[in-house]
Amino acid sequence: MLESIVLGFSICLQPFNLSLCFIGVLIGTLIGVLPGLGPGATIALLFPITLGMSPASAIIMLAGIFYGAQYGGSTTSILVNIPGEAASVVTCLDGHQMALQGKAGPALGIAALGSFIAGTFSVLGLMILAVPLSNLALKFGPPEYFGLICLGMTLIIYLAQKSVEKALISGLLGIFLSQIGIDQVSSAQRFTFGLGELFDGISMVPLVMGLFGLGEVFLTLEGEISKISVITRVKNLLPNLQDWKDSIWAVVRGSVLGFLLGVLPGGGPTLSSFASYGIEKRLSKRPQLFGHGAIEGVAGPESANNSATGGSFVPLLTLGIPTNVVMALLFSALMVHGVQPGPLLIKQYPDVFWGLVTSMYIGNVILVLLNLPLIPIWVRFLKIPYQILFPLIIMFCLIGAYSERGLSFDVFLMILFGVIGYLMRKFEYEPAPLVLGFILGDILEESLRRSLIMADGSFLIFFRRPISAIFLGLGVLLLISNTIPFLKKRLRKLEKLEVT
Amino acid sequence: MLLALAICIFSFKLSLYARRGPGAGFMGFGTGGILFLLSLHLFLKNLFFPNRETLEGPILKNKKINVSILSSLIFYALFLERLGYILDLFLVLLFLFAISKTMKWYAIIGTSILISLGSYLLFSTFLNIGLPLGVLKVLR
Repeated sequence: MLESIVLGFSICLQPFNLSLCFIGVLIGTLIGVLPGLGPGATIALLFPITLGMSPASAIIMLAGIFYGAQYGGSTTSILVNIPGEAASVVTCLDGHQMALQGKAGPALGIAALGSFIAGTFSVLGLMILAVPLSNLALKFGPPEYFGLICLGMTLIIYLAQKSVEKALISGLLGIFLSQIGIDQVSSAQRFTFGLGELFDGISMVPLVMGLFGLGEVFLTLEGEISKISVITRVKNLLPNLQDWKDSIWAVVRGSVLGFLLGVLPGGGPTLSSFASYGIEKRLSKRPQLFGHGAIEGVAGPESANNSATGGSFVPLLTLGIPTNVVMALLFSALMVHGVQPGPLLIKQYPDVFWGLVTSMYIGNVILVLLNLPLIPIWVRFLKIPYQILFPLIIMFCLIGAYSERGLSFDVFLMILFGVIGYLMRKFEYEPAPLVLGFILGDILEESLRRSLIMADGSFLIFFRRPISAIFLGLGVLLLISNTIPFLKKRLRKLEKLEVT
Repeated sequence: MLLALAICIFSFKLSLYARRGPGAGFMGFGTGGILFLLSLHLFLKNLFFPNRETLEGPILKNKKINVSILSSLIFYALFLERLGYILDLFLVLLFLFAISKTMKWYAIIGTSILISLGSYLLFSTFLNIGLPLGVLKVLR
């Protein structure tokens, strides 16, 4: 492993890659700081920049953008009380309260340092787990992949923030969209309506840029864009001894919990930050302080969501399965650069894998060194009115949609998905399951069809193979458990009716 | 529901089962079928319990600005190849900055020129992303 780490550092420390990592972290933070733009949207917007690069350089830069955007979101949560994305919601609760009490510095400081510790932990976890898990994944056949993807999709839907049915519909729509184009097995045209531009299927970039970039612009502009109040006085960034005493165990617990939840399909930064906040509140000797500026309420979730980031890379790089939207974006970025994520990645592209792993560590160091002194600049960016920002966001969407295939058709598609994204948000459908369904749809279909060919059309193959049976059983259990509260409610209603 | 039905019909036409196993329409038919059942469930749920699903405000609350942006984007996509990236983006940015009403007219023109030229330089020249020049090809 030592050789591989040295290889990783030799790639990552090349002046060009190092500067890309630096620029990625810087731009990621810059855009992530802006309210309403989370890591997903930031990566989608900045993805075209990496198109002309080598796979290793591109993924190093994208990972830097991801880290930067994640950290930028925390800054916005603490100083403005507007979460850039779902994972930063919890940070608002205590982080902004601390800022209101004049403790914005320690809140931002502990968020950065806690994230650094958690990031380091998750990189170590990724390095230790990746190789054995890849070897295990090599033993997976199509039925096992089918079971795993079904479980992953179920978890994503189960953890939906709004309606489970709507998340399921969203995921299925994604699977349907992934089928558009020429069928790989029979060469039949599917849902193309004779349009040549659809023969290769729908491209990921216009889909994501439309759903996340343009859809968000439509929704934001619809509301009243009132002036947001930004806390501009930030001093004493380094937490004092008491702050460390209060938060060190929260950081440790957050790091471990975040990594474990990040590895789970459907897990990731959001789930881990909420779980960490709940645990810290339960374990705290002063739970009444939570929601009123408890530093451990910032340290735990911030560490957890950063550690989950590293954890999410494990299934992406070893199994080829993205577990959340950001990973789905990185998955498609790797595919665009001709790199297939999965068990063979470490062997076929050691430069990409180890370059990425070491860049994550270097990215974390850059984050701490760069972001803490630059906080006054981020505060200034927070004051840019949205009316000036939105044309620029739209410009990135337009360039991104065109740049991948050089087709005006993709710009039309991006506009269409922008309208769909807007309507989905309006009707409380989450776009994330759609993107994951779109990404996983291809692998799901391929593994289903190959499994059925292997078993002469018998679906029993999924239950005869123990690993796939376990995955599918867990998925069914999750879906059943979701209906229990509904059934209980019905029973109670019936009982009430009988009594009256 | 209609979309789900259409998916089912088109998938059925593609053949559900081939000689060597599932056909090209197999997955689509399954997806469409489940989608139809779920949509039907939601439809009935909304029909009998209409208050349970709430809409996040009326659709197109701020109609004017969203429709204007949408129109400008369609204009951009339609004329991208003909006008070229720089000119097309310049016109769209001019329009978008104008409707946002945050800058003076000369600042709008200046910013739009700077951004369209700057972004062309960044993406096309430095990052080798092929962006069309359109009518400006003659200046090359």
